[in-house]
Amino acid sequence: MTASQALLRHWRNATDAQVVAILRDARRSVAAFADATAASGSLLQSWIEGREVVEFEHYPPDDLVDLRSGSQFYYHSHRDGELEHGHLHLFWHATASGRRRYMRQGRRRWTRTAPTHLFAISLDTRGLPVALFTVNRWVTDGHWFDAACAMAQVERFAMGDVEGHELSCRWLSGFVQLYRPLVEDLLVKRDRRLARRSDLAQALDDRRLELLSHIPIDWTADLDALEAETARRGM
Amino acid sequence: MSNLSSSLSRALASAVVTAAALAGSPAMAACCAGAKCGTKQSTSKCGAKAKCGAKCGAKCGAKCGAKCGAKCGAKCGAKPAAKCSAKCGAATKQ
Repeated sequence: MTASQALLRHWRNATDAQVVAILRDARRSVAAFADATAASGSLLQSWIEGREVVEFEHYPPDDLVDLRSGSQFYYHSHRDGELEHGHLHLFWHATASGRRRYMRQGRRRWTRTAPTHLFAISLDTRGLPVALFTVNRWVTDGHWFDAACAMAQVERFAMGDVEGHELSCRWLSGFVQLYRPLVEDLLVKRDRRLARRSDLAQALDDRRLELLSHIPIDWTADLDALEAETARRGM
Repeated sequence: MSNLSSSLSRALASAVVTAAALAGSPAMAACCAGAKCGTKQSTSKCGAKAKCGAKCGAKCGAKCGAKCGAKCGAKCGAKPAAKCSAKCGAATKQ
């Protein structure tokens, strides 16, 4: 695979300050990935913690939640695929209007509505991210937002250091920021696919529609391209 | 190869390969078919959710998904929420 053209376009049009920020996120993410791999064996193992992986089970068992930023994710495995071992589902705590939904520590988290699903990241058996994808609403529940609103939530997605999972949280926060332009494409593709259906409500509950958009990624090639861009700018 | 990708390659070379997932309980997959990838809190309640989800989801989806979605994109404002919660009742009430 080669570097994502969408990312290259975005980086070429970005200001120097933006490229510096993107590079900082990339460095932070790679360093956390390397540290997590050295400490636990792999990112997957940092969540699985040596247990046997059982289909549909969440790893870690109670998900990782950052109540301050309203971000949440978990890893699980259930799809047959040559590339992925499993995937991360990323959520944001949103009200029906797309605002931030606040919850208190120790209170029951979700009584009526679930958190809003943003997108998912496929990981291979070594923990390397290999694809991004979106799913239909029936898969995850939660409020549904169009691409622009969902993107605003992705931009606010950040995992603070959750005890015992600091490295994977750091990796994910940096990774999401690095791939923002591609996530935007992913969400737009998702909406375009749904727009082909006449009845949105029916489409969102249609069990035949599960995966709405999917973009394979090559993290290594994207990092090379980012560094090439910074070199081109003489940074 | 750049600095970042060589760090990544080194990490990957030492990574533990995780075995494929074992088959889960079919009951879990079947019962939670409507919310099988939700967060922990929602999957644990999937029985109740499935029941109410069918009705609220459909109604709310039509009104909020289409209408508020468009508005949210621009403003993410409070107005659509008021509308949605009023019309969709329990499912979207905070």
